[in-house]
Amino acid sequence: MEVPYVNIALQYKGLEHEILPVVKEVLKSGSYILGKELNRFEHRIAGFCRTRYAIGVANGTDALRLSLHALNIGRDDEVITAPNSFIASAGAIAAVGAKPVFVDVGEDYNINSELIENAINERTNYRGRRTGSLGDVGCFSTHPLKTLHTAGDGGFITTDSQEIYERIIKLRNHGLKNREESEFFGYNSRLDEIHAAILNTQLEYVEIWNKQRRDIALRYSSELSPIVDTPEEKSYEESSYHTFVIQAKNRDSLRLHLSNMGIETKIHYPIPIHLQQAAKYLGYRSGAFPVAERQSSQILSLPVYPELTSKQIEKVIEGVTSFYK
Amino acid sequence: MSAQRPAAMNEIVDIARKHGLKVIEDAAQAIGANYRGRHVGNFGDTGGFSFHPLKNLNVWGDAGMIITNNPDISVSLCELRNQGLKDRDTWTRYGHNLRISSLQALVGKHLIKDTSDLTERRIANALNYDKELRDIEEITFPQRMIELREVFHTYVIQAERRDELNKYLNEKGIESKIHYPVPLHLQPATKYLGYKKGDFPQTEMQAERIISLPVHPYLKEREKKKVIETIKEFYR
Ligand SMILES: Cc1ncc(COP(=O)(O)O)c(C=O)c1O
Repeated sequence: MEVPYVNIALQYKGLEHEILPVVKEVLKSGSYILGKELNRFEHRIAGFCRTRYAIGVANGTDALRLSLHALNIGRDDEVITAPNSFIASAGAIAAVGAKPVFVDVGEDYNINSELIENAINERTNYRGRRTGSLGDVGCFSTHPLKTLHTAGDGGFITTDSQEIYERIIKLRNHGLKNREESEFFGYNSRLDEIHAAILNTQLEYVEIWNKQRRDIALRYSSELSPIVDTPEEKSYEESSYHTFVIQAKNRDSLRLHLSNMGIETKIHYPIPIHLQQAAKYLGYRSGAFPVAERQSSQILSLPVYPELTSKQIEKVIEGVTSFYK
Repeated sequence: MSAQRPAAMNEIVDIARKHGLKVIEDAAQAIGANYRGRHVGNFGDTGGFSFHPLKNLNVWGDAGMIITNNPDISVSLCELRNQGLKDRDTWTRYGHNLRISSLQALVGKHLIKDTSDLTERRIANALNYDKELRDIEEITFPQRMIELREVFHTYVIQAERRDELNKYLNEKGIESKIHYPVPLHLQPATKYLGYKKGDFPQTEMQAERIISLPVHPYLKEREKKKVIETIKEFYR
């Protein structure tokens, strides 16, 4: 591949001289779980995200699952989400026994807030009031493909609520309030020290990486917006461009054309969640969410990461441009 | 399955089969243990192992593994641990993110070759304790059985005046522990199940008497002697 979709190994190479020593320190300490690297990471994330609390967990899916659990969402509750997301968004809801309820997305690929109210009933309402009084949570994944990532699965939760914070701290560790006493049944969902140490190293670079991604994205936008549909940024937003998603006519042929030129692309995601076999029992049919379904046949994610060279970026632009000539 | 020794797996499996039930073996601490020559985890439908840093085969963080002889269960588990995905774009069932990272898998792969050797050292430490503590009246431990290979993730004895003994050992610089002082049915988390004190007299009696002595493979001769001497001293 001349332009791979991601190149995590290349990023690691640049950071190796920083990551190996901190990992070695962790290994030498003999403290591998719930230790001081995690503590430090949580404090720094809380600062970075400007929330009162941050809690490291095993991965982004668990961040959702534990948050739902901490908000007392379970059987008989409905949770609203988007059908074009990664399946974990709905999977985590099902994992706590609740029912995923989908709402279509807008042109910006995000859930269409104008449609949300139609999907609310007593079951969601109930939950809404409860969670409202507790405050909101933010769920993050540090999977290797994310901008801030570790060498394996990882994630964290942010919240301003002390009550939720204390509950999640116990939930991720078997509901234990001390070594001996379990207050409620929980999970084993802890962020290993090795991962916390790697994340602490990476955190120094996140703003730089985000800027580099943005620069590439803006370059794509200015060159490609006359030919294909590129992401639009509202004046109050500053997207971190974890992905750069275009919408294109003849998407599949374009993808093939790019692939023949050595340019790797991805589709996030070709089958909406409500049309997956796992969601069959929810009873949605094709046509239920026209925007998400149309987009799923037109979207294409182009390579966007700091290690891309100018030559590679030009190659991608040339690839898309030449297809429509 | 207790921390020390395999349960009566054949009997348990027979009962389960008679009633059409499944058996999940919690072999979290028992890698290397066997019953009549058969490795634990092979008796039930699945067997689960923990690779927590304190386990006999460990990695350098949280991880675990499931074994099974059933191909359908194996396929299900592979999908379940990866979001219920059959391939990148097909989602067959609700799943979880429960993958073991390559980094930790590599550690496990590297350490597994030492497991038998380290386990032998644990067993030797345990049998040495058995021999040295056997004559202390205030101490009891289960009879060792020829058909069981116990791997002594912990070495648990029952002791009179346990709390005092624990304190005494700790004061003398010996790290003994209680696994565990509060049985599950008496935890705040299980209150809703309605159990009360007295429901499981054996468990409750043991919870007040058990104490775990250091048995790890890196114990020095001097340290083993000190443990034994200190216990003898306490009951003198
Ligand atoms: C929207 C969304 N939710 C949840 C997840 C799950 O995160 P993880 O893979 O860390 O479990 C991801 C990423 O994979 C995601 O993109």
